Amino acid sequence: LYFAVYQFHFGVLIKFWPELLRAAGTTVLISVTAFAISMPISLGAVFLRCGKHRLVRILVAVYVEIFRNTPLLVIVYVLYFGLPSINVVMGAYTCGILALTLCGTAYLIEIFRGSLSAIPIGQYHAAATLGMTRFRTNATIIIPQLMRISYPAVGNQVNGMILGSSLVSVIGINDITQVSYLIGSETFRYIEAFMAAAVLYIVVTHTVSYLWRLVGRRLRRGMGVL
Amino acid sequence: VALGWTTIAPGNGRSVIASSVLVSYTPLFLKGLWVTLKLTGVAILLGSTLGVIVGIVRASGVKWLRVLATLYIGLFRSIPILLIVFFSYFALPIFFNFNFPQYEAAVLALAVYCSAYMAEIVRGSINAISPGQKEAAQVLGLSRIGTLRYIILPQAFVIALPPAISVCIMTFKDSSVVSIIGYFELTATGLAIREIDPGNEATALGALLVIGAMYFVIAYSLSLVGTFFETRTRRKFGSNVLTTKRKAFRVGARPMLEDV
Repeated sequence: LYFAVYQFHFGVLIKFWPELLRAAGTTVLISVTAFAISMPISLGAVFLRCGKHRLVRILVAVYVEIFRNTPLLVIVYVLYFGLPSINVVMGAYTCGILALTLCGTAYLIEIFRGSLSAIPIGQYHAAATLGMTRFRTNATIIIPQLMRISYPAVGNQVNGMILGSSLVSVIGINDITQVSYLIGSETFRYIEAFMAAAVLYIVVTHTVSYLWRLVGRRLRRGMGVL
Repeated sequence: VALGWTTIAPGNGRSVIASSVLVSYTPLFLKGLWVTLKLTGVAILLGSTLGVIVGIVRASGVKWLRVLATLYIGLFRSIPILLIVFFSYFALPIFFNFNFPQYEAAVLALAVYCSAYMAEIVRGSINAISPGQKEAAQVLGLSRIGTLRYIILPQAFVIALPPAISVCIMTFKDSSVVSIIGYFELTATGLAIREIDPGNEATALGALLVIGAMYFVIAYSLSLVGTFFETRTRRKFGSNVLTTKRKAFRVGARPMLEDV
């Protein structure tokens, strides 16, 4: 068999390590930026999604369903190739982050909605009895519990956004996938380059998961519940 | 359908032309959709088969096999689909020294990707069934295979169905990635139609919006099917099927990358 004689040469990757490292940084930067933007938006939007205005509820639901059921790649293409035809021109990074944010927000709203339904209605009643306003109830009573319940699912979403950020490389962002492809086409060492990329992704996703769990443990210790 | 396309650039005289141009491409769009559906169907079929096997192995008692299955699931769930597609199209031909056509590379990548997520669901569903079922079956004299075949799997199937449908939706959506290696499916069709007529401003956006809408219609219909089965499962098993997951987090099992 041929693959028995394939000689691995991981040495060719050595001179590319600054590029690979920078690529990992780009991947983290894009996904973390998108996550940081979509987090507050979806926390606000989930109360509109479950609020009392029917029209607003439907609008948010439509947004969520559209962005959950359309491929991220197609959204990236619409933003980057489609919108310039109606004179909306954005750079590659803006498009990539925007596409990830739009999708991530939709997923996060759905996660928060599920968690919101797990909070007993008595929490609202008790807060109302104490004379708290709706806003104050949500901000000080509901959101802390919401964060705690949805914490593992949100962590998964962060990972999903890191993996999703690879799709935005197709519009010319030098993230891990794109750089490993470029290294492969330059040296024709595709196998080694993609293996290095896989290792980088595993390191990044597992580090983020680890940090997420670490922070979660700290938060839980402070709150003393769950 | 044409009505939606004409509203892309309101007040623009070209929009009417654009819509008629897009209408003339309808057979091309439908062909792209059909190619995507076929590709996804084959990938899901292969991926589910592989996923069920890996999932059963992952839940089984043989230790070294279980470790292998864990590594398989962990690996393919921590790397993006695009990298898997690239690996199967650019790297595998070097490894095996033969030319891998785009279709085979695409199916392989999507099937492997799908199987890792399916395996995780199968494992979770098998573990969600109370151990009493297995013990009772063995007391009645069923073999280990018989227990799995007649007692465990039929119940696990009902629990696994709703999340399995979401994996199918995910595979369907991520099949758009294979356009990057040049397989001519729905996304590639949209890009090509955009490039046929780049001077026509509304067509450039319109073609991409049309394929987005096509993906949406299929994925959303599938998600409705998923919701239907989910409510049915919940009615059948009560809500305890859904709480097992959260209990797992509480006893300190790894919440990340394990949860579907």
